[in-house]
Amino acid sequence: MDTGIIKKENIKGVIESLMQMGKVVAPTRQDDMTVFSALPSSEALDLNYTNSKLSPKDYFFPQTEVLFCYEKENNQIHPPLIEDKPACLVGVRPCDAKAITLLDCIFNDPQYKDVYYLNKRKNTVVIGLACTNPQSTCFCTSTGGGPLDTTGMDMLWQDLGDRYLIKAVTPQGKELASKLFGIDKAPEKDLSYAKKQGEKVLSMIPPAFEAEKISEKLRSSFEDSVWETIHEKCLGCAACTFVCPTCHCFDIQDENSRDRGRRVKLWDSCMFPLFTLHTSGHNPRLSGKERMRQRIMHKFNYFKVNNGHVACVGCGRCIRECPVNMDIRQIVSAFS
Amino acid sequence: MWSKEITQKIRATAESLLLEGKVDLIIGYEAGSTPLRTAPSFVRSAEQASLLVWNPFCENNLSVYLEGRKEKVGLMAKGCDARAAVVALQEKRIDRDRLLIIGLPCSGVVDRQKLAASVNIDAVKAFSVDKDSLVLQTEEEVRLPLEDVLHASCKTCSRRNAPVSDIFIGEKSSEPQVKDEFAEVKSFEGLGTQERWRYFRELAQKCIRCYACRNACPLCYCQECIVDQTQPQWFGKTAAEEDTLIYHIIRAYHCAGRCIDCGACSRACPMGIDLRLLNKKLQKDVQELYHYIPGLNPDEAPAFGTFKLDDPQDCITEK
Ligand code: SF4
Ligand code: SF4
Ligand code: SF4
Ligand code: SF4
Repeated sequence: MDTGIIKKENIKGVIESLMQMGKVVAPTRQDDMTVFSALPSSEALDLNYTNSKLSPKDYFFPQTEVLFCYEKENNQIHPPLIEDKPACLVGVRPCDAKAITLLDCIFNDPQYKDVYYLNKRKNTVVIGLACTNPQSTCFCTSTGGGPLDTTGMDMLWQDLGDRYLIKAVTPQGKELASKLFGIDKAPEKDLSYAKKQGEKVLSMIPPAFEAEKISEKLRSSFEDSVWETIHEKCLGCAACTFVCPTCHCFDIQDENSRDRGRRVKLWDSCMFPLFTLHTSGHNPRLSGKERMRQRIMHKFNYFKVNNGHVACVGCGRCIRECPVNMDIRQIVSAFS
Repeated sequence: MWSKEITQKIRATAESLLLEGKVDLIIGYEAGSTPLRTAPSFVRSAEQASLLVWNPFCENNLSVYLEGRKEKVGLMAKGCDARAAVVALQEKRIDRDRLLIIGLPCSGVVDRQKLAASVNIDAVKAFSVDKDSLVLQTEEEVRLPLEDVLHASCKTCSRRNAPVSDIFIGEKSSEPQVKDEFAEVKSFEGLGTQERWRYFRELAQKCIRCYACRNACPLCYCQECIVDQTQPQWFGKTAAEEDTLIYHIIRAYHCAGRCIDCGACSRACPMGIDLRLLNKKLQKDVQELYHYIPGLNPDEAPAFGTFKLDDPQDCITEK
């Protein structure tokens, strides 16, 4: 089945049938925010959200991940349990789904494979949720995406009021659609309504800049005077990079006790001075200027050169969560 | 008070201070990139002075930018910015003759998270302040009493005007009569161990260790924060509860007797964690034990920078 309709009154049944197949990770409401978590029951699902506080990247690339444990006695190494059960990510916004394909560039590099990431990735079906109500900070249309973009999804759901239109994107998505409970055939009028709705939402997010042009410009802007002042208000925290669905830098730490220990992989951030501090004491990115330049250059220049796409999907989280209102749209626009 | 006239006066003052060479830099606020935000602003020329704004979204504590500055700075200061500057002066982080405190009449800043709970802030195109109301322009006009959306720190603040200033712009705000600034702490103290522990655990579970709280805090100026040290590494860097909690507890203790309760840490937190309670508890203890309120007088020695013979000794236990 390529398209179909799920009536909202049937959504619980659909989620329950997904839960029978494996773990379902989906938006849930916690206090005042929406976050992705493994659903304890179908009731916990909350699809009426604009975007989640944190992106679902944490599912594939957890903030803290144990790589292995060791015991000194007999030099024993214990690998962690590798999750190989099927799982489903539900309700992922188009920007965040696309971000997963950018993480793939890093963790599924031809030379370096992150088995922890890839194991989950290959066992997980991604069901996206089209945007109907973009936020003032959304700018996906400036970075090659859009409210109905299906990049990184196996299936897309679109909220049509009392029903969801579903579209299978990949063969896995098609297969899943054929197994789900309660999917009806999509009538022509729903398809045309969905199209109109999509166009309307798209028109609500006029592009703020042209990412292509900016990447080009950044290639020769390493010494540009813009960097001298643009970082000045930045506090050097990691709010922007930790909430970002594409930021993927990590640190590896060994935690030792007397006779045992473990090796963990942890999120790290280019905005921290420690990130580039050498053992010698030298720090090649000495101030906020170099660090901010790195963050922007990596996203809009180096990543583009290396992987063919800018490493920003325009979700706007960094803008919302920055304590000093650093707006990445304004920074890159300075190079347009 | 929040008014357009104050903004005009701020701009004029900044302009003349820069033109007369009395300061090299004014640190203030400018309009943010979305309607309900402002951003810290660094004004170095008279022409840029027109960027400066003054409104209830001026939420950052600007004293965070004083650390390590060589220039002569004019600091736009709410009560709490000035008090943080006083702590910086007491702790010899900045020279008095390189700091010009421009006091401003604060009426409390808005808690964006609280506001977002009652209005769709994405639909807001513009705002204004009409006496005690915040007026939001959405499809229709929304009027909210400012009092209802003030940040928790501002609700218990009775030092809205800078205690020390070189210039004061506008008329001083009337200081509200706060019934009991420690009411929340007291009810927390009254909880059982389990319940108090739950508060700590919930805090730690939510925290993503982004350190926005630490970096937004004007008192957290250590060259190398203990959580960042690797030689030796004092504790784990994971987002696990035990590692996260130890960070928060250490930070709170490092700010004891220094925290001026501006709430900048809580406002900076992307996860909406109420960090204030812990700080407020220590503030209460310091006040009760040492009769000390931080950030009022640059010539006074800070609570933990001095020793009086009649200081309570109960903390020293003999075994
Ligand atoms: S841009 Fe904002 S969120 Fe990012 S490090 Fe700077 S202050 Fe923190
Ligand atoms: S850089 Fe900002 S807008 Fe771009 S993907 Fe990351 S968080 Fe979203
Ligand atoms: S704590 Fe006091 S001085 Fe600071 S912003 Fe709130 S009301 Fe103003
Ligand atoms: S700002 Fe919030 S999430 Fe970040 S470290 Fe502080 S408490 Fe944790």
